[in-house]
Amino acid sequence: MALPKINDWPAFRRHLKLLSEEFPGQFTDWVLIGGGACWFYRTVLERWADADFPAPMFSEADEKIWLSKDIDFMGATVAQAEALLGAPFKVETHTISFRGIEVDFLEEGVRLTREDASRNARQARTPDFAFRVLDAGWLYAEKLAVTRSKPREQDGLHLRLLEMFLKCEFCRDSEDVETLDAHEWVERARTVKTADHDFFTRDPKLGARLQRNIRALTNHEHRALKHWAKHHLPGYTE
Amino acid sequence: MLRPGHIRLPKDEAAEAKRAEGYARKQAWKELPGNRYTPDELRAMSGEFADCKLVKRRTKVMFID
Repeated sequence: MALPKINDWPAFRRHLKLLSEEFPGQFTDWVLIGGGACWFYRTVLERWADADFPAPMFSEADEKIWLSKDIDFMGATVAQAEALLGAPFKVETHTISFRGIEVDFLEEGVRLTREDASRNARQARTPDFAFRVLDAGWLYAEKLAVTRSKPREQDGLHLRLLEMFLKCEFCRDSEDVETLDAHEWVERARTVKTADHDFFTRDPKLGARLQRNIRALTNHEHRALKHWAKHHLPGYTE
Repeated sequence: MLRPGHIRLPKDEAAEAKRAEGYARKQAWKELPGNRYTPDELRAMSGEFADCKLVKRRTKVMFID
């Protein structure tokens, strides 16, 4: 199916594309965070349509607060962004306006730093442009930290989505033996468990599917995952 | 040496207060009419990203085609 013309694209994707075209040298250093990153993972999870871990259903009231129209990045200081976008940082909105887009550059989150974001970004590619998005595990950890200090309704919705996304991704990754990187998988699991200690044990579906997947791994290079399972999945045996 | 993720950065109180003010103002802006996507807009956007394909892992690259 052909993609629609750019002008027909919904705002979020169109805004990302516009920024990528206007700032090709810098855009690839920026890391999408916040609600926009959660939205991206929501679209991915919806497409996966996993039987065990489907995209959560949100009520009409939830949808009304799900996503605001500003876009949050990490990867530039406010001063750098002001110079680049040619507009002042607006204190009242905490954004910089650029051709109808409200863009914010956060220098630090509750626990997330710019260095964290840069080191833990993943690249998303469309046929027309690419962008970097904060790894879902790091995003989940940051959202959890935010909700513990400054509870907002939308963060609870984002957390529901990210939790389901992560469960699904951990399972899917452990099933894709050809591309599975055990050390990376364990590193991401550690990030999530550090933020949410019961993550891997409170959902029987997750535990059972991971146990089955990890038990089925036979490549020597995947042994780190088996070692992890022995310590973090109750009842796991070979 | 990398800082473990669970160890928070030291916070400067003045800077923290300034950030909290900014956070509150930004949140207030989000609450204003028209500053959030409507449910219909979200549904439209969801459709547009339905062709999102996620390859990656070793290279941490996601593809959307």
